[in-house]
Amino acid sequence: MLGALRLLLILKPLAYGVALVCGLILTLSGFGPGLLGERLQGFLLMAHMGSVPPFLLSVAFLSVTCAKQHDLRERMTLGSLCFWLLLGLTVPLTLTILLSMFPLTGTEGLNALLGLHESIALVFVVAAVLYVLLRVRSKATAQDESQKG
Amino acid sequence: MVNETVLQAGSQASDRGDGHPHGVCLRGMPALLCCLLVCSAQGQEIDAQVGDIRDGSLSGAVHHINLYTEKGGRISPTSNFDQPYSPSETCGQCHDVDSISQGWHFTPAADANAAGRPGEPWIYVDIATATQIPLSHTPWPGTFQPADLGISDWNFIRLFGRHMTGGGPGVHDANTVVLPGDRWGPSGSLEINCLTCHSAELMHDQSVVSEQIARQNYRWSATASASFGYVKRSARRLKESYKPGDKASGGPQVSYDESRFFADNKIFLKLDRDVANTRCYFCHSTKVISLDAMDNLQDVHMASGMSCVTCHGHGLDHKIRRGYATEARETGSSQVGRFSCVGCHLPEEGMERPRAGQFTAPRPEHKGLPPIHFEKLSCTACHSGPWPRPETVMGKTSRSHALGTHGAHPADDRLPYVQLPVFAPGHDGKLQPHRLIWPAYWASVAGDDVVPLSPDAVKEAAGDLIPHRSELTGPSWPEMDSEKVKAILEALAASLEEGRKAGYVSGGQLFSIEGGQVVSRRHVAGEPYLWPLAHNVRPARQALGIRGCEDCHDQDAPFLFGEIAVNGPLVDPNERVSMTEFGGMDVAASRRFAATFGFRPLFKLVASASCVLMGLVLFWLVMRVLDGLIGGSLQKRE
Repeated sequence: MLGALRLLLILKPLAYGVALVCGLILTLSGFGPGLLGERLQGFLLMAHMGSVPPFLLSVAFLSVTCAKQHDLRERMTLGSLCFWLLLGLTVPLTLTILLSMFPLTGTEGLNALLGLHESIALVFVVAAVLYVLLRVRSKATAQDESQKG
Repeated sequence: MVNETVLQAGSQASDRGDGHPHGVCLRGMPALLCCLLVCSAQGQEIDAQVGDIRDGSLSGAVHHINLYTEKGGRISPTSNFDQPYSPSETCGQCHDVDSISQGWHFTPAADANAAGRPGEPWIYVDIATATQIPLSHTPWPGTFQPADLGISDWNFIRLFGRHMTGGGPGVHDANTVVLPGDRWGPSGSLEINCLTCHSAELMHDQSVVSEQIARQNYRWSATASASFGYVKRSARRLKESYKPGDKASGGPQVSYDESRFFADNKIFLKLDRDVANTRCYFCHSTKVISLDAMDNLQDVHMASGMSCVTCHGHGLDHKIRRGYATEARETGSSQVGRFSCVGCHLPEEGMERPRAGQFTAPRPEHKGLPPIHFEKLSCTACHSGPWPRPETVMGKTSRSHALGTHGAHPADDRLPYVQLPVFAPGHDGKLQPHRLIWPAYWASVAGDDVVPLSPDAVKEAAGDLIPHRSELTGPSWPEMDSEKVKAILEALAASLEEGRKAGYVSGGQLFSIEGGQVVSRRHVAGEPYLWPLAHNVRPARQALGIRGCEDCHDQDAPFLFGEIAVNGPLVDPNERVSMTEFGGMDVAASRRFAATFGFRPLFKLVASASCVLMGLVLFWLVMRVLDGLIGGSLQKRE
């Protein structure tokens, strides 16, 4: 039990780190070419798609391990709301691309899925930035309090 | 202008003193006149003659007509019966031949802007001098003007008239540049032969033209190929001063089938306004040299009952719709765009009324195909030509290999060596399949300036070094080694002006003598000429990608990583060029990208599993919140 707890203590920050780095890569590679008036292709596309599995695994891991911590029934904070919003957006964000990888829909459907993916990603990035800021602030507050104590 | 046309038509009718001025059954003439008058009132200029305007009847005109000589004399069993008929004079009675002569089949585009997408060149092959070089009067990049090789219009007809419709360089007029050896006097002009395309008679034999051309009987070739005439003897030995009708000269002799002439001295010709496929095929047949019968199956459009002219139609100017994607934009004609792949198969946004789906064109679904493919690939990339193999295959075309003509070598392994399909960026920058030839020719070189030499000039300068026709072993490259090339280059160098040296272009390389040795280097002059292939179109179920991404994105998918043999004398027969080089792609990067497709199943698995897990967690939260809400309200009630 203690071993599992210790592993969790190591894995959790690691998962946060992986999710942060991969999220950064995904954001830059996803929005970068568009901002420069280009298409996501070549090396950037490989980087974008390559970052997805570790990002998803870490987010899925965090969702399981942090769910209790952000239980809205216990307390409803802005940080918790952001956490669940991010989790709620990750699923359609992934599904829009996952579905387009199967021969289910034609060109118009694929364009719609891609458009949806981009819109959700935009909201996701805003929510992620807010979540990170809130976490940094709460960490800093906690540190201050422990120093005062 | 219009009124003049009408008056001319009327006066010609009265001149001839018969009801049907040109023998054509003029159904709906009042409607035609109304149409012309309306156009006149609107101030539009129309050069169209009586036979060029449809009155709305779909039944087509019956051509019960007189034949005319090139001087305008009427041909009948009692007059001019030994003269060849002139298509321009005969058809020009009712059709505006001047407008028609502007068509792509007759007059090449004057400049690069009008040239449009590069097309199939005329490939000049001279086996003895190991020459295979793309020629075109249309200034397509990579082709050479015939004049660059000292080929006069007369000689151009001698070489390629077998598959020409006449007109353009075939017509000797004041603008024709006459070179020594040209024999326009005896041969006459190769006029536009309307029957080449429009004849629907079973007896019309276009292959006879090649024989007539070989005999220098240019002006007689239309009569010889037609169903009603026969020509014997040759103009080859006639004096330059020969005049048509000079019976004492012993020139070509025409005999007409007298039974074809009616009492009014007219003849009935079965002509199609909408040209039959078999007529197009004479010049536009292609063959994929392969043991797989699937490679030479019918185009899916033909199989569905369409014909060549369904898409490749034209107006009076005979500027045939070529059907490529950017043609409408380049010509400024929305009509042209309606007959492209997109025009028929996809609905156009913002149209006043829907036009897609004509000829029952199905709307493509392209399920699961990322839209970026439409930005990078033309429709033909996935749907046209033979299915790509690890190495390109050889092909033959009517015009390159003189298919369908008497005496053409039937062997598959023969010059020119045309390879297909080569996937390279096309005119619009999109990847599409092409045919390819590696030019091979002797040249005069000064620095990077490489000017091709005509095979005749090479033969004259190199003398016995060039094998005689009887010494050639087959229709393939002659035996060449660096010693022989060196000897020929030295002989050629002696004939060139000071400051220029001799070179030989083959397989993308320029061979020349440096320090007494034959050396080679890659040179732009040796770059292959590619022209797009659009047929045969394969149905969706045979299109690239139908089996998944692996069709093109596999580690060894021929679409990206196929190889093209570098072909030509002196070239290592094992030398190959990767398809990615033609596609302008980095081979290593393409392979890395292809490698990522191996991880797609894992990607899908991880993404699906993560979604399920996160979904469960979200479900837990929803349940928790609902439980709290319901529990809270119950507590309140209690």
